[in-house]
Amino acid sequence: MKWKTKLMQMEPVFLPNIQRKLEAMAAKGWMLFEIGTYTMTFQKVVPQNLTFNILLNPINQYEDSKNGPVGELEDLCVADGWEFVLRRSVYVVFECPQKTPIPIYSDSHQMIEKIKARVYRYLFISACCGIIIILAFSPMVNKLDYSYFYEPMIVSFLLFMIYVFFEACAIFIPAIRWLMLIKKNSELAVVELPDFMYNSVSLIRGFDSILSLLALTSLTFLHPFADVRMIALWAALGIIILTLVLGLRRRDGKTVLMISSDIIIRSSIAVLIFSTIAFGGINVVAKGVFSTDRALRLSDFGNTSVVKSRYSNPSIGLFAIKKMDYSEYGDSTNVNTKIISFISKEKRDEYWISVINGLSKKERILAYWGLEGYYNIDTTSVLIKTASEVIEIRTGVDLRKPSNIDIVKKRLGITEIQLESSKYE
Amino acid sequence: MARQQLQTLSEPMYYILLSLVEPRHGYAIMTFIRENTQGRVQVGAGTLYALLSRFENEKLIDFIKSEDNKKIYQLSKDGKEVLLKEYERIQILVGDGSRILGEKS
Repeated sequence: MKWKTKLMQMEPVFLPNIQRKLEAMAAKGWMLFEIGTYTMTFQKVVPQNLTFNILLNPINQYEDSKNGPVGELEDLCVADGWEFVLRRSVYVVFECPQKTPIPIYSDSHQMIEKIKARVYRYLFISACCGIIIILAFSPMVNKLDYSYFYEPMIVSFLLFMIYVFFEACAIFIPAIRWLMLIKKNSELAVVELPDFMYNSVSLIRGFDSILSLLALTSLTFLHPFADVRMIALWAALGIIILTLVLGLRRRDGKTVLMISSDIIIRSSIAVLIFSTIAFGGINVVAKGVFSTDRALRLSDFGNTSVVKSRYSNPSIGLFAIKKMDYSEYGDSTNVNTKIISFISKEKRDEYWISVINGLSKKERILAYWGLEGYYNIDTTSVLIKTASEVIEIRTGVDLRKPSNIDIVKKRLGITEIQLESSKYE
Repeated sequence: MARQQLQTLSEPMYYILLSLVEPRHGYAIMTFIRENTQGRVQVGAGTLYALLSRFENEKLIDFIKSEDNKKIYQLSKDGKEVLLKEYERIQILVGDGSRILGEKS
């Protein structure tokens, strides 16, 4: 058995083009077998001259309805000489071996009304998604430390921008057709648009879907923890709301659950994002390379002066607390630094109060490192001394090479790196 | 507004209402129209269903009962009124046509 998959989608404003394309495929011996989100699969059969009609029938399509007509309308189509091919969502595909059968929508006005309703629904859902995306991105964009843009972030941002560009292109062509449909003299809109427009939209949508998946993956896994958690939280909420909206339908007084591949895909993404939150949302690619100093920079610690006595010295960030413990033994000093992350400001404040009050609290340590006598102990660490704090940054690269030093300088936004063992004064 | 649009019925609309002088389900309506117009007027299943739904919303037809997954409808009082008005309008059109065309021939 031979199969062929083509990049074709069910686009309400292009139904006449899709019907014609299905007819051309059947004439070449390829019969429609399955409709996916972005593709259609065809099965090799004997070439036939068939007429295809697509019915927009938003009935309870989640019953046992994949393999046959459901409801009086679809029974009527069958009684009228049409043969049921398959169903995808609200689209029901029929074929007829007659050359000139009575079209399912003999009055195109009815079809246009159905298409309009479908497009309005699509626009409503798109608007909701757009708002969720803006809400998800605004906290990240506001808090972003642009001086510390590293490669995975640039890649994910580029992917996202390309995705937005192509999505805009893919919406542009159907939008023109939709504007034609909402005109009062909508009969004129029945005139089909050229097939290449539908082909372009299908191609762009398919390409765009790959980009969106890549962008989502990169946004989820490549970003530093402080941003990822916000994105993941919003995105997960968005997906859950979308799943509920699309998945639960009320019909004839009872709620039915959507059983389709879409719900599985959306649920998988939600699980993926929640897993990321559960694991702390730490950058899995660059983990252990720049995560600790990144955490320091993002959490925007307050200025707390370094004291030269044994002292628990926490400083506070948006979702993190940096805690430095100092101990002096004669001429040598020991410094231990911890970064503790919190899921909310309230949790952070609760911990802060417990530290001040000297209460013990279970800590979730993100980073931990120590300095002995303020000396570098390896050739991969950089010691940064500011008026308020001492930070050791483990870069993961050999700093004996001048080229590596330049990279680190650029990434950390510092002008000078002191590599020689030095005593903090 | 929708009701105003229905003051002039299209051919499929007229024949659907005409078929519902007696209680009928969808397929019976299609058969009625095909037989009574000798296939001249053809109403597709999608169009028929959409129009039935519209007529029901406009209370021009009444849902009688459901049998074997088939909804049976019949013309309502308002529907009869609309159908009669349309019948009279068509008669006037035919009369005017006969008079003018008859005079010329």
